[in-house]
Amino acid sequence: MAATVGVFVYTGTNAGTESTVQTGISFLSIDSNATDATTRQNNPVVAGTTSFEKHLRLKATVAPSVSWGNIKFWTDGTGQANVGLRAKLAVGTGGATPGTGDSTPTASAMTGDADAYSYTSGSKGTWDATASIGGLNTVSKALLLQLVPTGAATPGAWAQETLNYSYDEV
Amino acid sequence: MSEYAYFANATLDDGTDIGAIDLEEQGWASKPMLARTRRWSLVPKGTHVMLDGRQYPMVTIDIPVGAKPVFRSRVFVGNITGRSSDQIERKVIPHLSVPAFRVYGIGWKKGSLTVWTWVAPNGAVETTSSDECWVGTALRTHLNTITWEEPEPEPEPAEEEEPTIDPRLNEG
Repeated sequence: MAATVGVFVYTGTNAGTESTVQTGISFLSIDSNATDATTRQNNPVVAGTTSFEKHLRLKATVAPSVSWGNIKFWTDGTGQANVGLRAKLAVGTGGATPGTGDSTPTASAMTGDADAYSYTSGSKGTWDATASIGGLNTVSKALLLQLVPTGAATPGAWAQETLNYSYDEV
Repeated sequence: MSEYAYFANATLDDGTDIGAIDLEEQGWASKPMLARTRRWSLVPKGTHVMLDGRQYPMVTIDIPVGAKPVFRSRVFVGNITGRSSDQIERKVIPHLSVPAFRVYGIGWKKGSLTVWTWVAPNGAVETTSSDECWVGTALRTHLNTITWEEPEPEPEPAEEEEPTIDPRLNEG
């Protein structure tokens, strides 16, 4: 049977609390995996501040025949003016859920991160280079994302962005 | 449920064909079999169709003497997208209408060299000696341009009532 791999959000101390499989994530001013509109409206990311980091890992909820891994991440290379998106790849250690070595999500600007838009189809970022992460209920290393709207961000709808990832299965 | 579109077929050094190798089954990669494989094929199961409705193509490669056949599938996902209704509300939600897709790679490995032949679900085939699968990346990019996110309903703004004027004020 082929693996089923989904996106999970990790919150709390050392990002050790695992969400259910996510069909979306919200950038908020609190550490939460909530995706509903009410939570976003009650906890907005004010222009000129940074959102709480969003800690993501991929997790195999159905085991691969052998293993899975080699995860890449990329964007289309461009975003909206004055609305930054930062990414920090390959954080912590994968393996048995919920993984280890991650930090507690904060709303402080990340260090050791990069412009998420610098990762493109021709220059993919390595989310987790591990070729063989494991079997059932194993997780990848973490991908940290943080929204950074400057004070000059234009009010109105944020241009839609598509973030891509790929993984191998053997 | 079987998800892969392909079985594998191995032709051994004595001409023996080993067909219908289920690549989703644990233990399919028998080392003795792989060591003797000289021709390595992806054979469509016939249970899956490509994105345009056509059958998957059959792909066959030769395995050089001293090399071992390899297989990998790579899943391309574009399901995290960002949108927002205003400046201070930022959300990332999935592309509900963009399917993840799987590309299939067969190849051979000898020493530090690995040569892959990838087949994408639009029928594109690519042979490369790098880890990249450009047909998959290009297809991901293409799909991202022709599909869109299901819009999330936004709350209606509160309506401001028009001030009412007592018509008697306009009289006389």
